[in-house]
Amino acid sequence: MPQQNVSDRKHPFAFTFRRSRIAFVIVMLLATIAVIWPGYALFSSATPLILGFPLSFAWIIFWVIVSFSAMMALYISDSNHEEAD
Amino acid sequence: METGTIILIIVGLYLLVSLLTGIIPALTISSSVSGYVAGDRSMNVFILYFVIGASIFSSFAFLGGPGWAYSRGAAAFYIIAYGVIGIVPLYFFGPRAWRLGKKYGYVTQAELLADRFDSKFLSVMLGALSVVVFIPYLTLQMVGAGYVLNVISEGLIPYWAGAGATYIIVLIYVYFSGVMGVGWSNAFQGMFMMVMAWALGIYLPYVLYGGIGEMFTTIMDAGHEAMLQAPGLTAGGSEWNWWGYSSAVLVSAIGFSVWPHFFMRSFAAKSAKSLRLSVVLYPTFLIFLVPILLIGFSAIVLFPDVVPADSILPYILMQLDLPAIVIGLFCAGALAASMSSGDAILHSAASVGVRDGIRPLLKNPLSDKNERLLIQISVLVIGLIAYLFAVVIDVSIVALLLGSYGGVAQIFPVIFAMFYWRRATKAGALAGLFGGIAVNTLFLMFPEIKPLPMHEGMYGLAANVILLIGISLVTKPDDPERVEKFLKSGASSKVFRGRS
Repeated sequence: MPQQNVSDRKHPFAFTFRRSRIAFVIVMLLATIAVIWPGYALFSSATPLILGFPLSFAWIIFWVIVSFSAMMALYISDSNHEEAD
Repeated sequence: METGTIILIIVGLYLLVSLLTGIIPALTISSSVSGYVAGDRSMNVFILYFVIGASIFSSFAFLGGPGWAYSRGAAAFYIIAYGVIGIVPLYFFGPRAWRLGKKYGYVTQAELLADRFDSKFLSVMLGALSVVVFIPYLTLQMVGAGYVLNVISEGLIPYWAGAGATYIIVLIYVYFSGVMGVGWSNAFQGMFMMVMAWALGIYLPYVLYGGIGEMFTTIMDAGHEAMLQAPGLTAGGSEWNWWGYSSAVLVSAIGFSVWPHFFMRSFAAKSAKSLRLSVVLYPTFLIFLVPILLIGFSAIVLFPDVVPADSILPYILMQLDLPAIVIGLFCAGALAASMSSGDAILHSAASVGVRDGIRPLLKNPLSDKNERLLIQISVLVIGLIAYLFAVVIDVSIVALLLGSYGGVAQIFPVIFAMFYWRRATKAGALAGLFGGIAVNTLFLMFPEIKPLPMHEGMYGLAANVILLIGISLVTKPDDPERVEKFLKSGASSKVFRGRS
């Protein structure tokens, strides 16, 4: 469908198939660094308590939510760009 | 009614429902090998979601998770941390494997690899190694089931009888229904366990301390703040180091998506899209580990020095004077944890053992009917072997399983190369995979020669990647036609189609 190529050019910041995948990989690399050293070392203390959870625990839960959101966004983007099979 | 009777009735009802959910839905599946091993590629998002989630629903999560939180504190967050990153590769590998499976009839991981790298040897070795790893894995699930029933019934149900009764049910539905039996029973067991975990994980901190925040404050006031600081403690009680923690997370995450019993569920999906959605929803299962860990934390101050730490959950339940119905439900929950992993492992061990390990060695090809029968017989034989190990268990089996995590991670680079690297060759793949396993095993057996205190799997992976790339580049490229088939297994983009 040539129209889609044209629309890609019109919107240089549109989330194309390739761009959304690159964005996703970057978020997941960040998540990886966040849950091991050195990212986790910065948020490794027991205090303060966040919603009752120690910081070290809340930080990991936070990244579960981030990666869930990132995967959901990629899934929606892929569904728009790919053919169903 | 007596407490023991109520517990037995609830557990019996649970087992009956498990048996029915395992047998009934599978009646619609064809009696072919593809039907038995891959459910005729018909699993929808609902079933796949629970099948993928069941990988963390094991005896380890239900007993070991609280045990880790109780004895090692923040080290237990490792279980959640590796799941977050470990599931991601399956989003990319899964649909590719699914498309190839649909087109060429693959139902196992080793079949894909053996075809891409043109090596029967690879298939037979992976088949044999999988069975060697799966048997202790299954044994541990049986041990968990027997143990929980024994402790909760206060010795009323002997350990061997608890494990035996539970796994006869599993054997029956796996024997008759194959993967669809695993799928539907996992959906039932999964929902049941989620409810139990959340109920207990929130109930315990409130009833014992007045809230989650109050519980953690009490733990810190009692002088255990170091426990809550990442990366927590080692099994010996000293502070764990970042090398050990980070490398354990990485090795587990890398190995996670390529465990053969996990990876091969890709072939059972109804469509690439439903497989993807199930993978995307996986973190909702990870969150289920939060209440499980809270259970362990709730015991740190109130019940110190319980040994072994893995028994902390049944221990708390016995101390609290809970109504029999709650204990019965919990018992069933623990069995669900054991069974939902055990059935998947049993099914995969038999399927992989026959299809990848034995079939390539036969001179005359098996008929579809005979192959299915052989897999079913293997289910019984493997179940029996694992049970024998379970009733005469010793420490070496646990060690064998823990050692296998680093070994399984070595499959990742060849899977990646299969889908994404044109230049990977047969010699490179074999050298990488088996070189990696050899290095991993070497450091596992002689931990004192490690240059840094990292997980042995990291050394294996380093050797693996160097060998895979190095040997591939100095050997002749593989047949391009065969290679393209695997590289082009990605989805077709609407935009790209417009261009061609």
